[in-house]
Amino acid sequence: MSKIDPILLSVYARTFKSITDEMSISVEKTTRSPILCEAKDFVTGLYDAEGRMLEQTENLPILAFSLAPVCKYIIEYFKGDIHPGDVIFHNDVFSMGNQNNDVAVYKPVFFEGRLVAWVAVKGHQADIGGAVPGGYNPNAKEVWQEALRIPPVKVYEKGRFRKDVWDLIFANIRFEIVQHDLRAQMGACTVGERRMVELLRKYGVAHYQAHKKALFKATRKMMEAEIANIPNGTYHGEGYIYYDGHNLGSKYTIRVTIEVRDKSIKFDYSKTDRETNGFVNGTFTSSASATLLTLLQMVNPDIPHNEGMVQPIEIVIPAGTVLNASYPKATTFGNHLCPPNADAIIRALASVMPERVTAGWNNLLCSLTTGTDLEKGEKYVDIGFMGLKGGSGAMKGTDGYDHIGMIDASGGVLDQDYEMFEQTTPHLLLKHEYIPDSAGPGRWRGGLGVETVFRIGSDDTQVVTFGDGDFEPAFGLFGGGNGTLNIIKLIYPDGHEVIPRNKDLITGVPKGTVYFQQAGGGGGYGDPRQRDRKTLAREVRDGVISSDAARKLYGLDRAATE
Amino acid sequence: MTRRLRIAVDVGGTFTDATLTDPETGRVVSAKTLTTPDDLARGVVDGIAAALAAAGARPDEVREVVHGSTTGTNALIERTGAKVALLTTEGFRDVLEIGRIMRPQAGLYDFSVDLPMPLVPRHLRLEVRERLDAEGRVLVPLDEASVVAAAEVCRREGVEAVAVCFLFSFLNPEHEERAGAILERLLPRVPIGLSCRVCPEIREYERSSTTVMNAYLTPIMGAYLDRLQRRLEAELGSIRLSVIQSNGGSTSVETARRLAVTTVNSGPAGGVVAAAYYGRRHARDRLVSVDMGGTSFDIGLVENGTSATTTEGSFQDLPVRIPIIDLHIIGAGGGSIAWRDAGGALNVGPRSAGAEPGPACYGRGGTQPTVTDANLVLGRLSPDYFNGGRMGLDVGAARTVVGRLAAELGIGLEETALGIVKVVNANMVKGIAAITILRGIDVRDFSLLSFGGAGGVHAVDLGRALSMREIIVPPLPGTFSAVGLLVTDRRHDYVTALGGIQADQADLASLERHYARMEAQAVAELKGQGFGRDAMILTRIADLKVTGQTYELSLPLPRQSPFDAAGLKALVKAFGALYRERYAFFFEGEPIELVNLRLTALGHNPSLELMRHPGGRADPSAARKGERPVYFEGGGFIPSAVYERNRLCPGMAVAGPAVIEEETSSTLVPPDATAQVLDDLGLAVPMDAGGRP
Repeated sequence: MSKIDPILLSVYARTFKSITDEMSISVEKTTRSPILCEAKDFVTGLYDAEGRMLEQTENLPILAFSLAPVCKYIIEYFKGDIHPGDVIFHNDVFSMGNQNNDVAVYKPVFFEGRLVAWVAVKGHQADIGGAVPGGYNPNAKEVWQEALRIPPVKVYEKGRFRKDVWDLIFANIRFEIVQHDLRAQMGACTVGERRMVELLRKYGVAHYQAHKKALFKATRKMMEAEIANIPNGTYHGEGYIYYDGHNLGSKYTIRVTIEVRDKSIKFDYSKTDRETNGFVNGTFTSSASATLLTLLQMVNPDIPHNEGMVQPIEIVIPAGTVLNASYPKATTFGNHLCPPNADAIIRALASVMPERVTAGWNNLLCSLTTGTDLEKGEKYVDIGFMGLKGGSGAMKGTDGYDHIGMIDASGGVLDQDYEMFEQTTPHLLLKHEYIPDSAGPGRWRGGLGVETVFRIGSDDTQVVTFGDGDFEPAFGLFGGGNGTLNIIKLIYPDGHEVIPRNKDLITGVPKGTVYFQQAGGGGGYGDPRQRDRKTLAREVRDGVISSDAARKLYGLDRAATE
Repeated sequence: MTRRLRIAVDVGGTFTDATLTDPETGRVVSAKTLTTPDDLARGVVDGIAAALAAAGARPDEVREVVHGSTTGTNALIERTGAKVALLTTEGFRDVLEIGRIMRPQAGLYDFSVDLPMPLVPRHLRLEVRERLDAEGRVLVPLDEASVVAAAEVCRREGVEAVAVCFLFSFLNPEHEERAGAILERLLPRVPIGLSCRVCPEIREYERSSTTVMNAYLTPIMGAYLDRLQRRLEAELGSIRLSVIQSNGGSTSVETARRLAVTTVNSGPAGGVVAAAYYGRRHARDRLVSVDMGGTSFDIGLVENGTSATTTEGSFQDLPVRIPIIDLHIIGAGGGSIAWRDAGGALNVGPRSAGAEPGPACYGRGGTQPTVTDANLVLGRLSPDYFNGGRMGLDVGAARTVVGRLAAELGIGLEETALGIVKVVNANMVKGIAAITILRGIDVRDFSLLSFGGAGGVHAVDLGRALSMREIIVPPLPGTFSAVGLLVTDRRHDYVTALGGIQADQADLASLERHYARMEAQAVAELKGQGFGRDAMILTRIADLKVTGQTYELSLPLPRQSPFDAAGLKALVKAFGALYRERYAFFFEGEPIELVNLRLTALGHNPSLELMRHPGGRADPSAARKGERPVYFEGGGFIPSAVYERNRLCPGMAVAGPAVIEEETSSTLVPPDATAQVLDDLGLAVPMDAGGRP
């Protein structure tokens, strides 16, 4: 039995983190789809032999908390038929996957002949087959209209490449770039495997096992202490989904009941509305990820992300609700149910955690353009990451972040680099700037929204929209005001304008069409008339708050005359 | 008499250190004077005079002054740089503020983390109508009227420097150059910085950030360097003035003035260069170097005998796309002020009493307790031998201010002083962990190389807390950074952006011409600075990427020249190997692109040979100069031997409790430790392997 060394405990925790960080850098530097290498829509993770989380690098947290459940599923699925040199792919939402496009690569780590750990990388692929390039199909009613399902499958077995399996998968995926990017994900797994073996060589398996256990225990204690800070009680909150992609005017409600009992917390979604007939449905792991990441934003940010962190948390989401669709429903929109889910949790806890909650965040409204780059003669897919990011909600003592994007990414998504954007798509970017007066006013204001305009450079382009935030703005708290709404608009070369619905598929968009998007601001916190006057004056001079708004909403004149 | 002496001057927040070397004899002499914040150049001149006096040398024997400057660093920390305007392509006014990522990864779930304010406020970010496409072709011609309008805003607002960064200017500088010419005409006294000259590389945010930071520092650095050069010429006659850069190499005043951004953090960079040098000398290739001065605590890492540089670094959380030495700097030093927070807890720093007024014991009007005051109360510093006895320390003043804090906290005087030391130690341990343990580096395999005037007193405590294998305090620790300034080479970096050329379709003759052009420029610049051709080391470097990916890898050409078919083949092969090493796999057989060509030019300086002292007996009693009570945790005041470092001989072993004093520093040896004296009078304190599994 190894003695637990407090300094080494910290070395282990930090080494796990540095391994997943290094894997993350590897993915970022070796993938080609801008969704991965520029926007970092991927997660890397390290798990023990039983599939329990050791650490993760959560560039986009909504993907993150499905990796450990899938790892456990894979272990059970192969029942010991796991060997050095195996590489396993998985995306299936009906075996704990979170979204069809998010394809995970798992690699077992062996040391001295024993399975000791797993490394994994999950990333959003540029295409995953199905009816619509890029994977977002607002018309889908079943999973097969959305994507190729990949239950656990070995693409390498004992180090031998399974060409037949590989070809079967990629015969069903449109773009070659996906092959390159999944190879990059495999490469990052090898990086992680190598580092993990180095660590074990240094300290030995018994030492690692003992310290791992101690780490889980210490982390669990940290999380329990955070939960103990929340007053015991039962709290209710609601969040709203507008339009299911089929029935105009439809609206669904997420209802959460949060029970805090000393050191444990339970999120119960049993009263949430039923699933939809379209693709606006969550999977259990996408919804549970949303719950976890929202909670993580309200507690000590230094808690390590391992099994111990999740132990005191219980999440109940009955199958058949809009947050946990039944087989074989369509679910691609599921990740984007995080914003209304977070809204529900914030509303439930605001009164008991006024110092820790944020006001409402701008809900995601996103688009995906696909077409053929005429100059290069290649197909491309672009999720306009710089366009979709609105402001976050303000918090007591702190303004919201400007143009930070959806709460499901927790601000972890990089903006596209303009010059890279134009080198990798046929579009010409015309504008990318903050929107004045978009922030929800408050003593602490919401984050600013952003305006993005580009000219589409491909012919016969297809634009898919998916999201919310065009009906209900990000809400203010404790006297703070709402942010502005989202909008997407297409201005055709002949001058006519089309405003797509928030879940829509527009085909045949001609070259030269101007794409216009505003992502709205976040909600404000506290009475705007109490906003610091010096800050306000600077914001008026900088043009992010108009003098009109400063007078009307913030009462600038009155303060100045007093 | 020939001019042969080289003097390094490192300006810190509290002290200015001058170190003089005579390349013919290998003699090294150091002096420490107070930094003069109102006029830093005066302090530099004072320091040089003190070093010359200590060496018994004359001003006309000085050949070169190598300068490590904090001017740029301080301007960034205190936000006292120039009022800058930024001209951007129309539609992209916010690029500098939006950046690429909205907040640090560490703050992913922490919404109280503030973003750094951009160096140019929004109302001075001005849009110009113009546009190039992704190939560098003109889509919208430059609208000169909008440049004129921007110039008018700059004039009205009293802007002191202008940065220009247009989209795709790294492929075609035409619009930036023309806008620059118009601005120079309309704003004749305002320095204009163009991104195509400061940082001609893809990625508009990093390019903007680097160009803006350069503009922000240009006026202040230019004025400072001019003043310094005039002063030095008046005092020393015709000498070569070199300025140390953040890449650890030195450069000319002209380059430093033009590329002010390259001087940020240059002093600390010199410290890491010195540490690597000292480590090589003693066959220690894994070091954590820590420099504890009056104001800051600078942490560097040496692995495989060298200090790592990065081109993806940042200063004060603002990215810079130039090669810099990887450093972590926290606010902790002898001058760090101790205070009681609202919750009643004891805190130390990051505020520092600096040089003016300095710690209370300096007797220059300081009224707040600092780390130095605490060390004095504990008997760890001598009141009579600080800075070689030239500065008396006032123990009474130290006891008064520490006593006042003790009363607030309701604990004893020594207890409070020890508390101050323990808190600042914990801050420093956390800082070291940030660039080692947090990156998965197990520091127990490393030696802690501790220098800076305040470092020797804390070194053993820090090493213990981190279970490091050994503590080393080099000779002349108080001025050790300056050694780095003396051992480093002149370094200039050049880059040519290609915009992505398929390797198998490259026009090799044209690439060879690019290299030849950069080489001609490098040779001319180094020659102009007095380096002979045989002292120059030119290295051709290329940035390559797999077609379709967005990030490149930088590597030296395996066959340096000429750049022909065989050279290209070797380069592509080496790229594959490097890629595989870094990312564990490679896209074999896929097309490769050349992104940038780089050239690094070194002008080699004579290397420094620290004097070796003759060995002696292990018994150090010959160097013992007395005894005084020193306070240790758990033991209270214990009678401790006091040694004079300059009287120690290699091979001696100094057992604790002891204090080893020298002019510019003191080293504390606790009761259960022993310091071994190295051949150059460096001190090594081996640690037991406590805590090892």
